[in-house]
Amino acid sequence: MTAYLGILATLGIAVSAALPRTRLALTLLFGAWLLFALVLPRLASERSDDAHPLPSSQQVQQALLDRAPAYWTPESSAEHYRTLFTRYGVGRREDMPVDARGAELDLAERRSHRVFDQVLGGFYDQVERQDRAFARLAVISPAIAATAASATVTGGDFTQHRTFVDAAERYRRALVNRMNAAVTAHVHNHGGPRPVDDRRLWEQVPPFAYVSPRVDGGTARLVMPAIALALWAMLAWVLLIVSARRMRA
Amino acid sequence: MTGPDFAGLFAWDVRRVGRSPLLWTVLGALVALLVWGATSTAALHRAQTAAQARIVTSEAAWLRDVKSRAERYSRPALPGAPELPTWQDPTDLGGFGRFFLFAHTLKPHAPLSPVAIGVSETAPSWIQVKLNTAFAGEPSYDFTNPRGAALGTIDPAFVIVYLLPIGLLLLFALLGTAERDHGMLPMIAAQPLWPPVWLAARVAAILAWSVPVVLFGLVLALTIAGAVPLAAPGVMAAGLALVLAYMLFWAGIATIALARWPSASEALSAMLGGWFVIAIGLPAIANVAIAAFAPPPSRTGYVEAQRGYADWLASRETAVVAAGLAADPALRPLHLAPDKINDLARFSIVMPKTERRLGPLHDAFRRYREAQLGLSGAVGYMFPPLGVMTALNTLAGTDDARQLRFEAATRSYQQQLRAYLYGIAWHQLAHPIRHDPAKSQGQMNFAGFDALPRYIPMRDGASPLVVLPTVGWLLLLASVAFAAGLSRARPVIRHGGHRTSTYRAAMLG
Repeated sequence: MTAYLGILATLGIAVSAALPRTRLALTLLFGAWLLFALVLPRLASERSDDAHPLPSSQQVQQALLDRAPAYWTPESSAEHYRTLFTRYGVGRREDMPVDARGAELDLAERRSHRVFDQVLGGFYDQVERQDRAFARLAVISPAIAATAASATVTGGDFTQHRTFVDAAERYRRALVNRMNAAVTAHVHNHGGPRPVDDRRLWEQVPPFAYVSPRVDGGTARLVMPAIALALWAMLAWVLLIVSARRMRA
Repeated sequence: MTGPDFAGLFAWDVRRVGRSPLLWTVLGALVALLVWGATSTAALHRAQTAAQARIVTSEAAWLRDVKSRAERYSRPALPGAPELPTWQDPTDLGGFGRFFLFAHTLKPHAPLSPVAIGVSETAPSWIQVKLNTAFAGEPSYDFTNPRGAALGTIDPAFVIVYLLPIGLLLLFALLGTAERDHGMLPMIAAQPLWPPVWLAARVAAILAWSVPVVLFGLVLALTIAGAVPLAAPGVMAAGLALVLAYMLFWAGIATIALARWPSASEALSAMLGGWFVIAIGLPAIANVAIAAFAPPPSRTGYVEAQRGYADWLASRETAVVAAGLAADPALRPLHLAPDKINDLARFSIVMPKTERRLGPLHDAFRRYREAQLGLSGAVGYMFPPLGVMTALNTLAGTDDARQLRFEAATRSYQQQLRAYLYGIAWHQLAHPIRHDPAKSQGQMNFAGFDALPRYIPMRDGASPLVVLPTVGWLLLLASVAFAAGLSRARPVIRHGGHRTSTYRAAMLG
């Protein structure tokens, strides 16, 4: 932020000193503010997003529905059991050494994890690509550099949000896998009342704990904004030196 | 004092202003931004319309699949086939209502939607309607990059509301003060011309170029973006009238500043200070004040209430369902077991009760949004940029009021679906359809797939009349500002008095 304000102040002094009339200096500086602070960051943001378009929520939901439906059909259920029969070397549900229902739940859940990783992971990767493209455009405006850098430094960028989302998803999967394991362990392939677990099972699930990533973890994302700010600072200093020399002359 | 009249000065100024590179730089930039904004907004709306089209296709594919399964399950199961569970059986009313129903409501875009992005980037343009979800559907939000959301997008409404005034003020400040900055005022003062007429001619000349270019630029931008302005001529005309009135409003503000015959830097500072206060500062303060004195209801509190109610219901559901069954005189003599009835019949008792319990909390959100809408209407008169933004959103059909109507239509559609499916479930309590596995694999107690209520997409185009009060208010403000400015520009002649006019002070340097 200091660098950004320093660039603005230096450019302001340089332009004011270089131009013979106040109206020209004011117009130029105001136009520059309008362009660099108000227009270019928005245009750059839209350009970065357009260059790496995200699928709509409808497309994401449809992909999840097609590849990992919450309720599977008799056909997919039959396919699940073929996989399980091969895995356990049996030909019938009743012969499975684990609970068939629990094993099917576990199988479908782990498949859905892979689908989520592909669909949602790809989606999140694309958002990060958008942010990297935006950071690369920092060279066209110091405001873009300041915006990209401040989001990383304050932990407000998407990459750091993703670490939270991923941690929450890992917690969810561990919880679901633990529950499915409990169902699978109670073999219940011949009917009768299903055994019920109590709080001892739930107490095995630890509370969700999240540790925010360290700020220096985002150093790589600060490279482009830092280079851009350095270039802008150099440009501002060169302009200031040239203006000062012209004034002396 | 006699001299050149307004028409003569105006004609001379129009020619002179028209040769200014600054004029064409500013207007060219504005038109370019209008085109950019309209095309990017139209691209977003086209993507949303494409998503809606895919939903329609998916619904048709779903219906074909459901019918094909129903036909297959209408036959006896093959030997050794496992029993068909309810959640795999669309011919089972409960299974269909809970696990199969795939219905959506869609909010089509208005013909001139590229004018303003409004809430279209953040609010859902389609909602999947679930039968047994409280208060209709689970809105699905398209992801917006948080960085993009924080920076905002460039749409024509943003260009008109925020950038157009800056461009105009820049033109007024620089083209209206050239004589002062070039030391020509004393020479002009020696001419037989009336200062207010001279000022009015200069302001009018700048407007004479700016207004047609901006209005034409807006129509051009919409046309390039793929909108058809003539598809909604009334709305288009209202939009152009609104932009014209807004330009006149800022021209009035500029006239007040120019009436002091300032230098360009003084004029620019005063005008941009005015822009900042009117367009940014006061609305921001108003927002903070509204948030402080009328905070929104707590989402977390609502989730907590839902959880608390779910716990309460889980422990008493059988009693609640029994009471619901006993309340019906036709069912009371049947002594139905609450835990044996059809899933949908159970939901038809539980859901209304759930919605009655959570209704006050849920309604608080709607009331808050409605209050915000009412407030934004009033605030729009106090701060014209907000009023113009709201009016442009309304004309584009991307305003929050239309979104609320869409959500109400979604709720209404859910009620239609419930009336149909819950009605069948209730009827079957008294007249159950027994399943005969020897005849069919499926339960075969539901086959009304084609009779499901269909959602009719809303076609509520904006009425051009809704923006007329804003247009009228802007014209009134502009008239007052012009009158104040021109009156201030009049030379004050006082013999022996202490007061001198700004005009005389400027003339004398």
